[in-house]
Amino acid sequence: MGDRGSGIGDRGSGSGSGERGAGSGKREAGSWELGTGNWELDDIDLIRRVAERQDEEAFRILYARHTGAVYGLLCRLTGRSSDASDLMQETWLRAVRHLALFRGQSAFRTWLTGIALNCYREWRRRHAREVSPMHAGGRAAPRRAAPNSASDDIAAINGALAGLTSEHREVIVLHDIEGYTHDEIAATLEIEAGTSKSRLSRARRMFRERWRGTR
Amino acid sequence: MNNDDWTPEEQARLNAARVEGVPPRGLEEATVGALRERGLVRPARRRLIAIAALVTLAAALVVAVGWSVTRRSVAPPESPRFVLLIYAGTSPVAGAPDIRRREYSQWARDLAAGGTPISGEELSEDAREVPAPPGAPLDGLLPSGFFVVSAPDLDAAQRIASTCPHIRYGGRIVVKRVVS
Repeated sequence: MGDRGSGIGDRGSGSGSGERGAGSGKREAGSWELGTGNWELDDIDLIRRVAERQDEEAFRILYARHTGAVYGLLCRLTGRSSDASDLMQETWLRAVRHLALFRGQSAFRTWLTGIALNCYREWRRRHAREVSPMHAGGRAAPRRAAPNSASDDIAAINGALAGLTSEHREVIVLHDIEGYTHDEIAATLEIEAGTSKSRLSRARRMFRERWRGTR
Repeated sequence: MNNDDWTPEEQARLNAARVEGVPPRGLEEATVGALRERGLVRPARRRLIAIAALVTLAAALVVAVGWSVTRRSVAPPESPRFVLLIYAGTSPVAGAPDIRRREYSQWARDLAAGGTPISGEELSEDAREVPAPPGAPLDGLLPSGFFVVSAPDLDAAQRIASTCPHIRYGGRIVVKRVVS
């Protein structure tokens, strides 16, 4: 049995999110807490280390803190994890190359997300004529049992998104899930704000049809 | 509100879909490799030397401490058992998961070989909370693994936990006795 143990804790609390359980403050009698670690550096310190000293360890901490959120967005936008992975890697390459330009006027994740959206915009230009196999034929996502948990609900939403064209999917993702304004979407996708609004209206109808088919 | 707008309930469900993705395991190494090729990151030589020295020292300490721990904690079957709950630190634990996984397994094997009964499992990130709380579920930090060891007392269990490689990676371990 001794060779089975490999439990690892690689999920941090991220930037500013709450924490429960170990280290949440009150220490229970009879329990021990070991090694609070030396990983208290904030993003600005880490960025400086990467930019000035090419510190790989500092980069890995930045990577661990921010990749999940940006990768999630890229997955929703592209509808394909393989494309999202390529874009995520390209995002980090550009970000590290231009770290000296990061002035800290916004949160690092916001800056990184902006780079990711630039990468996505270039990617969609190159793939404008491609039809994702997931929405070829434009059928609704297969009907599933009624979702009974948050993860089922998310799966239903992602399934419905995958059934949309990329134009419809991206406005739903950016506006309705990520909370971008039409002006921000217009800048991101290089379209008019009015186009974003009308596209969203059509996208919602298509999405609703597919989403309700899964509920 | 026109017909295209979401109901508040629908909008809440859409907001909840804004979740982090789980990148493929190889992406971190591929990204670091690409950055290294371009000279954008590098493991500092001085740091490597320091790490090598630390690893040598740590290995010596592990052997010494492990010997002393196992001398004291080689426990008969009726010894108390302790759960070592594995948590991230205040920041994400550093290091490639695969490498850490191998190290943790080796650590447990070494302990077992030294006569300390130990078992353990890694826990997946998927979790459910019952009853489901309002708002975002499980928004706190949860243990991502555990070991169960036999040891004479809490002090001995703590000494065992202090040798776990998880500590070196910036993680934390909470040790609690199993009530039986």
